[in-house]
Amino acid sequence: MPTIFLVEDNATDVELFRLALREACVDCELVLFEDGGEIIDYILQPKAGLRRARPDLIMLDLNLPKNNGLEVLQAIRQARSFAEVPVAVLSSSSSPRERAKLAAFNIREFIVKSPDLDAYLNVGAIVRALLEQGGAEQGNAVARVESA
Amino acid sequence: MPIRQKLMLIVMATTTVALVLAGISILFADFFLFRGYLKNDLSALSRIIADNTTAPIEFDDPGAAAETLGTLRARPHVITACVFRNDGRLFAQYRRAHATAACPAPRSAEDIRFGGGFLTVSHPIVFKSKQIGTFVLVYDLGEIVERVELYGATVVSVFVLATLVAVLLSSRLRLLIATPIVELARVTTRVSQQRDYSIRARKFSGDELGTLVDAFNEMLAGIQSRDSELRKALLAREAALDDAQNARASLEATLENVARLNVELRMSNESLARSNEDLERFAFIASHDLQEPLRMISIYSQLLVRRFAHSIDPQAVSFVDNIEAGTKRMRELLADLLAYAEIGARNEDVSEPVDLNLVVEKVRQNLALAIAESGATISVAPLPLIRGFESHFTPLFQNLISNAIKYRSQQTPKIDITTGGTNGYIRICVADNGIGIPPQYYSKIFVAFKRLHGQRIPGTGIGLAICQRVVERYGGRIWVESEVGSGSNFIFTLPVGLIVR
Repeated sequence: MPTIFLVEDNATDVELFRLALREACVDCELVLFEDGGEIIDYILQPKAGLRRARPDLIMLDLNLPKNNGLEVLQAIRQARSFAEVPVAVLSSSSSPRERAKLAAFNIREFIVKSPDLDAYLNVGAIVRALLEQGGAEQGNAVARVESA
Repeated sequence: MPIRQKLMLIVMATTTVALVLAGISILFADFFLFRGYLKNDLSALSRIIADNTTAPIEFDDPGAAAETLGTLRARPHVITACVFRNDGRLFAQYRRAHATAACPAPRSAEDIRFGGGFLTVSHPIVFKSKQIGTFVLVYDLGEIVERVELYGATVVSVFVLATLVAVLLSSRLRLLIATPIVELARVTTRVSQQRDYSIRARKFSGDELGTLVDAFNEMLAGIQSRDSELRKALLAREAALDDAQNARASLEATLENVARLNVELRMSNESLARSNEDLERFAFIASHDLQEPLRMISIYSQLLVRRFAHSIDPQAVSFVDNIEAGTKRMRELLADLLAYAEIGARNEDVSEPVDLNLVVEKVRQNLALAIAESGATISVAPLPLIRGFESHFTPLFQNLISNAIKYRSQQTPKIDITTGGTNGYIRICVADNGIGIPPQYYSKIFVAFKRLHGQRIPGTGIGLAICQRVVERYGGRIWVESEVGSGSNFIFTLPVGLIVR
């Protein structure tokens, strides 16, 4: 069973993400980090209680308490064991400026959190696709949800 | 030496020299004339006495001869006179009273000689052409000394008299010459001491001194007029200097003021920039963060309808639809607010040439549906390449063009985009044939969230505010020229410095 790290502070978004995964029939272990600091700590010093040191996918919200998404991305890309992990970014804003800042970080997906239910639930399908691709297509970001 | 004394001295010297010269010449003349006269006189006298003694000698009567000689008493300077016989014997003698002198020896011929302060005359006594004796006379020349003394006394008294006359004359002369000169000197001294050029010298006569006084007065008048002109010029210069100083002081004060105002302006600019930045950050965060709960409301209301569609009232479904519509409008407003805030935000990115022709083309595509629905025609003049950000110019043109379509009249929308140039700026005009705008709203329409129309025409009321913010960010200006019923011209300018091509 694949492991997904979800970095998200908003409880309703977590619930919606689980709903989306369920709808898309994605069977996985979801590890939740509620702020940027928490996952940076984990990356720098993995806790013994977690079975896998490395997830198959990291879903990262940009707007986070403590350390924001950009800082988390920097930490991920700098840690040797995490550098290759696929990352998909979730954002409530489609601002080009915000997006431009991510260009250097090899993002697999830039997903805009849609106010439309169906568009939002489509995130599950994107996750499944990303998991199926695995690490095979690293560095090939496809902005599939751009129009949403 | 004062001029008065000099004058007197001149007069005295002249008088003295004249007197002395005259005295001496008279004395000399008289001395020689008198000697000549004395010689002739005594010679004649000797002949008379010699003639008168012939008889006493012939008759050998010495008494008669002495009597004849006694007549010489009338001549006091005759010291002695003698009659000698031919044999050399003294026949008769006359002696002046108290005189003891003896007669000198007689000479054979007639002889008159001066010597030892005396004049000695020797004259033969002749009877019938035969010399019978000799007459000898000794004359005292003291008379000449007396005469000289007399002349000297005369000269001295004339000199004293002349001195008196000279003193008198000099006081007269002083009046004539010295007084005008002294007066002139006094005036000169006063003028030079008091620096008062209005003083004038008094004129005493019409001669050269008078002319001198006139010339002096004229000179004074000239100096006075020049002095007053100089004084006037000096005063004027001082006044000008004062003015210049005042002007300088006021200029300095103004400069200080300007400097102070500049500082204040800089401070208020800084604080304005700070508050502007704060406002932008606030708008950005507010619009960004407000999207989140809105999204939740939207998604969960959709989820509510989907999950419980079979068990809830159909009216509840329409309520949820209203919630949806409300959140949608709210999202639009927030998105526009975000766009508005982002235009003002500091952009670290490097600007790049933006082809406005391509921008308009992109806007055409974005508005394709509205253009097709309204049947609008858009004509575009060739537009320049501008250094800037495409993300600014797209909303600028999109808002102007979509407004032209949105606020259309009964006619099919016709939009003309033209360019022109006015000193240092390029001018772009978006003209339409829409409903137009009453003049009192020309400036209000550019204020964020100000709308002239209700919900009948959709819109957030921020489009023109975005346009204005974009244009002003680039240093340009935007305004509207419109006529109700015939259309509006939205005109904006951009500095020509921004034009790449």
